[in-house]
Amino acid sequence: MAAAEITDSLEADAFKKLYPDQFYARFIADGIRPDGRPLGRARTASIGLGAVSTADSSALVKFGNSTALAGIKLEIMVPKDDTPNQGQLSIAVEMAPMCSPDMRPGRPSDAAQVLVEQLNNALLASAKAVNLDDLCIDPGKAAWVAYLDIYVLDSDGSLADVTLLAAVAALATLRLPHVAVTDGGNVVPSSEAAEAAAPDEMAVEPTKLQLRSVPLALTCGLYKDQLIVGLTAEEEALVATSVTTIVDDQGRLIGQLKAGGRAEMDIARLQDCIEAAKLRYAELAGILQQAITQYDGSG
Amino acid sequence: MQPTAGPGPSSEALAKRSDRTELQLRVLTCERSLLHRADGSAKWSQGQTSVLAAIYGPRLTFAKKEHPETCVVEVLVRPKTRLPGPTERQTESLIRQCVEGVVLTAMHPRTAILVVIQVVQNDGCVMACALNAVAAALVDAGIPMHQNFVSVTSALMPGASVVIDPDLAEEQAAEALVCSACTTCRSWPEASAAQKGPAVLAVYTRGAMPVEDYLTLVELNRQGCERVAQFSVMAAEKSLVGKSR
Amino acid sequence: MARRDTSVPYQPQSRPEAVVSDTGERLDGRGLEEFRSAFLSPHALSQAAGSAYAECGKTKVMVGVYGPRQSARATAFSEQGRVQCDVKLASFATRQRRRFGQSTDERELSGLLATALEAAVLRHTFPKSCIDIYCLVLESGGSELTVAITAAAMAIADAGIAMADVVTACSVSRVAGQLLLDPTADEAFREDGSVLLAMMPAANLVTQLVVTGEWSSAQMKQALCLCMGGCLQLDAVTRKALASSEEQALAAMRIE
Repeated sequence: MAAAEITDSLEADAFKKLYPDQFYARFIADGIRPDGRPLGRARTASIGLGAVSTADSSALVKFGNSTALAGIKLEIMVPKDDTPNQGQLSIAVEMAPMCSPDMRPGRPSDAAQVLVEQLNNALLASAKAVNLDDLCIDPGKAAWVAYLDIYVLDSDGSLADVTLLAAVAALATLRLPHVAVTDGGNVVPSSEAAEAAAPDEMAVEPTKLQLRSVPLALTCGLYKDQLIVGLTAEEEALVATSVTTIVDDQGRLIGQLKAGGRAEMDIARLQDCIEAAKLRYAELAGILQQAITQYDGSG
Repeated sequence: MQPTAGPGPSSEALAKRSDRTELQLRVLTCERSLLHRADGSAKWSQGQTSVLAAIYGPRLTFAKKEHPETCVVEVLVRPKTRLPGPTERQTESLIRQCVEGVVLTAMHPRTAILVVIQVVQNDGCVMACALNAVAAALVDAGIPMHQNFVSVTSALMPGASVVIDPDLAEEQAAEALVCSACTTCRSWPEASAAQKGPAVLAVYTRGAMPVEDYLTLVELNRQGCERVAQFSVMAAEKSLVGKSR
Repeated sequence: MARRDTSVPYQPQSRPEAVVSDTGERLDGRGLEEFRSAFLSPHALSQAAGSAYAECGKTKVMVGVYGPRQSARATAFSEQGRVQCDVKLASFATRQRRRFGQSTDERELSGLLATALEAAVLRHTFPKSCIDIYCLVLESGGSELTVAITAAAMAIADAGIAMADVVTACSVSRVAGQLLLDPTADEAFREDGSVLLAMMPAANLVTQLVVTGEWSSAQMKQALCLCMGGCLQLDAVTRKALASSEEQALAAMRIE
């Protein structure tokens, strides 16, 4: 009995490796995908906040197998002359060499650079999720620079979605310590500076960073004229083209990227992608809010 | 190189365009076969924006990079100043996937096509100009394609007005930008009867906007692409006629 | 975008001075010879041939193994397979943010990891090929190399690559004359000598020994005994984790 079962699964695996397109087409013709999901359902998301204690805030996000870990570390800088009231948010993405058989250690890969640009576009240029004025400590003298570093640990498709959610979750749980600038130009916790002045004052709690907008992404693909939502790595290789749509909590479209591909999409299809992104937004926002409430309650 | 949507000249100063209407493209020019060492080259200008594209290939490549059944496309984008960074990688990725979509890659297995793009002058719409330059250079190089594409950018200005083909000042003052590429003919190998209406090959947006405005801009781009396609075909015919003499 | 050297780290607290109290209790409440609670889990990643996630106190390490496969670099013919290791610390893993490229201590850790594992892997079973071991330290709370070695051995086993035995590692720090097993980062900061031992517990063979500082032979013996005890404890945990992961995988196949 066991031998027959193992033979069946070996044959299915062999067929999948030799003819991936036909293997996938058989499932799509029945309206489901190899992992059992219907065409319009993205993978369930799980968010773990505050996993890394050495980071000022961290978020581990998984969509099925795709995993990204975002961590923020705060440092002090002198604001630039033309923007004395602003701090900085510096985003970097690294595809860890373990995430995919094609990755090798060494120079940052092109895929990582593209993700950096998409994140910069979504968070800073388009949605303006972070107001850099919030990162100022003392205008002209000191400001926070938040280094948001995202490591892709497992690359199983929809990386734009996973990294954006990880970045947003890490930013939402970032707490800026209360600091003051001494006469010598050093930045110390304001409780220390206050002790020197008035020892009876209570220590001030760190402030949460307020996000002006919460953008979240969804990647959809077009396979033989069917719209597939939430792609895995195998599906990304098989679809004719893919579209990444980013919407925010105010219902605005933050970005839509369709980077060419073997098929066109008409405007109705683009609208379908936006609608799918909005549905996904409601789902993800709920999970994110629950995770944040739980984290704040325990932290 | 990317269109930027950020603080810039005040919107009152840009309320009226001086030389054209809101829905009018700038003057388009296309020069082909500028570079003698490249297999194909084209310099595409939209108003003051100018981008030079060169195509090398199909040619031999390293065994590691080659694909046994298709041609591999590599794109290099060189901005006018500074070193290439994530912005250029994003542009490269977009152009590469557009080119892979239209070129008959199965005709030249185990080879590579290298596309090099140099921004000569930046007065807005650099991404669209680069895509147009690449399309013109592909024709000049004689690479077999089943489609060609053209590209146009439009912007949503403060006050909910839309303009097409913004220049740099308008781009910086815009609330949102949409750059899209459309194909020039209708027959796709994977197209189906269910696909009704106008379609886009590529879309790239920057800035936040309501969904209705986005769809308006996409439709506006499509109309703009039709005009650019007419110009592109005309320019190609002229330069090819010149060659055969 | 600011260059990294234009910002300075913000660290309000310095490391604690005294790591062991007079009653022999450490900062986290452990005894001198107590191990941190270890969580080891193989098959943590889907894309890698073998993977493992290990957590020891506040040290968190993720390892992915690819192979046997063709080496990325062109190398001469060899009848023995090659074991290539790459260790990276995440930029937020340490108290002070690290640069976003590989530094010299990461290269050193990669070399040490390779030494510890090479002896255990049956390299003659994959001639001309190599196995790539990629290790990412997500949080560095002390003894990263020992946790990395244990996790990497588990990942190699998860990948199905033939090994003589699993490798477990343990380290001991000497602080003010006292020997502390499995030191945390604060304790390691105050050490004046350390011993790191990697061994194959069932075969009772040592694959690597790294010693820093001056040691008398009596103290060295004591440290080695402590380390071996720690390794044997870890060995039990590792085998249990591997066995239960195998059971889960078989059960999942039967359901399908």
